[in-house]
Amino acid sequence: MAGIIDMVTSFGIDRTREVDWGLETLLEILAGHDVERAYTCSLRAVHYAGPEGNDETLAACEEHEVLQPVAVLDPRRFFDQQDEARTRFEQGFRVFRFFPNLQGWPLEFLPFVRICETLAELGARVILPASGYGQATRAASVLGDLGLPVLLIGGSYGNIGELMAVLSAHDHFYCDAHMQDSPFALEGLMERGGEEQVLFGSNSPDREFLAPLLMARHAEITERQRQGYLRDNALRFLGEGA
Amino acid sequence: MKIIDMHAHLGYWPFAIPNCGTVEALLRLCDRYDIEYVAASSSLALNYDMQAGNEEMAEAARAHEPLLMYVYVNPNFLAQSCAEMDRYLGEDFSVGCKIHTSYSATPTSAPRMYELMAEIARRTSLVKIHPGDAEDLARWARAYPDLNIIVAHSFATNYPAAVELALAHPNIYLDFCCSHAGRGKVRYALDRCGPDQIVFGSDMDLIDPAFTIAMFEAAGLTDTERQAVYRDNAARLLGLA
Repeated sequence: MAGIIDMVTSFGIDRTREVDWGLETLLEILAGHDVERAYTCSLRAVHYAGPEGNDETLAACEEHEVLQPVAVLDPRRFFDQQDEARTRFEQGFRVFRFFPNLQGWPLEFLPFVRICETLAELGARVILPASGYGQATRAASVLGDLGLPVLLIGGSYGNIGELMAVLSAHDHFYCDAHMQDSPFALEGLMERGGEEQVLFGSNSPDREFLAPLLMARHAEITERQRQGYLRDNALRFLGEGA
Repeated sequence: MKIIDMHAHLGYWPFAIPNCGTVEALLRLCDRYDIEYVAASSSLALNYDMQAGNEEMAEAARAHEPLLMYVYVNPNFLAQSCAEMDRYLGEDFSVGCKIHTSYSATPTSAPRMYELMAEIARRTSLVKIHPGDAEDLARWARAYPDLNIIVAHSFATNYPAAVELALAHPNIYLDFCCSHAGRGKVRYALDRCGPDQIVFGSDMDLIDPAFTIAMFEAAGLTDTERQAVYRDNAARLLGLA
């Protein structure tokens, strides 16, 4: 079986806790779990300066083959973020991640919508959080008509029904399952959301990589579905076919 | 190895997760993960009807040996809670009480929570509480040294504070099940306060035991630690051999 594609990782400093989320820690975790590719971003881009952080991400990815770059954009800055999107796309970034919960802006935020229109024109992919009620619904409402592939991350048992509804209505919307904490939840998401729309994201190094992996091992799904969840659905999201 | 699971619930939750909520679902998970005993409280009792929920839980525990019962008590109904304790705590399958601060909408600092805790301490040696304020938990641990207090979810991302609480109070026990599998917290707790005050709790069948097992196994447990946290600490609390 080919290795895992992990769509949700990051590296850097957590200013709120004394934990080691450094690049070496992330690489060590990935090496322990047969990861073929891990999409990652620098937390410097999230908490401090987007361009500096995205440079850091690019440098890490150029040095370590397993890492693939995810650019962080901040719609609060608006104009230069459209340029940042184009620049990063030219550099090889294909996935762009947003942090509305941490940065305090709503999904209906017009600067965000305009940036996503630019990303859709470029043929990029977007990662958004969907950890609270209504967030996935709003993402679908705001971005559903753009045709932009969107990965919703961080959904849990609480909003799994909402994720099923959004995924089944929009086949270019996807979700991860690192907070779906039972095999039943993964089975349900694949059955009612879409078996090609659920993909693996560990949220390492903050979260334990093994937890979602064990859910996949224990889920009563076919081997083809398991392979889809751990790898092939990510390729579909990325537009690489599978 | 055999596991004793100190955190489970019987009954339904308002989430779209298939195959959950029944006695059969709990027993299936016990079989799957070699769980010898599972201490559970009633979801019906937590969410709606304390008395009916406890009755349903007792009926299940009476009929199925792996199931043990926490008597759910609610600080908003002190007299009824005392009656529930008096009704069930003498039963073989009953292990202690369960309090939930969120579902009862009662913070640990509330006077009625203190009144309830005094009643619990008069009747049993074990209580499991869904998180509360560390200062209140510390006060109870000191006031009732014979009462063992399992801190459910052990403060989630603020686990260092829970570990400090356990370090200062030998009758505080940590239970790390959580809807997000925080990396490193189990190892941190083991290194800081040792294995003797950590119990395994899964929060089944809302959360599959493997989700929490993953957190424990990723901590690189020694044989001694594994035996303590998966079984022996809970066995000691339950008075089992």
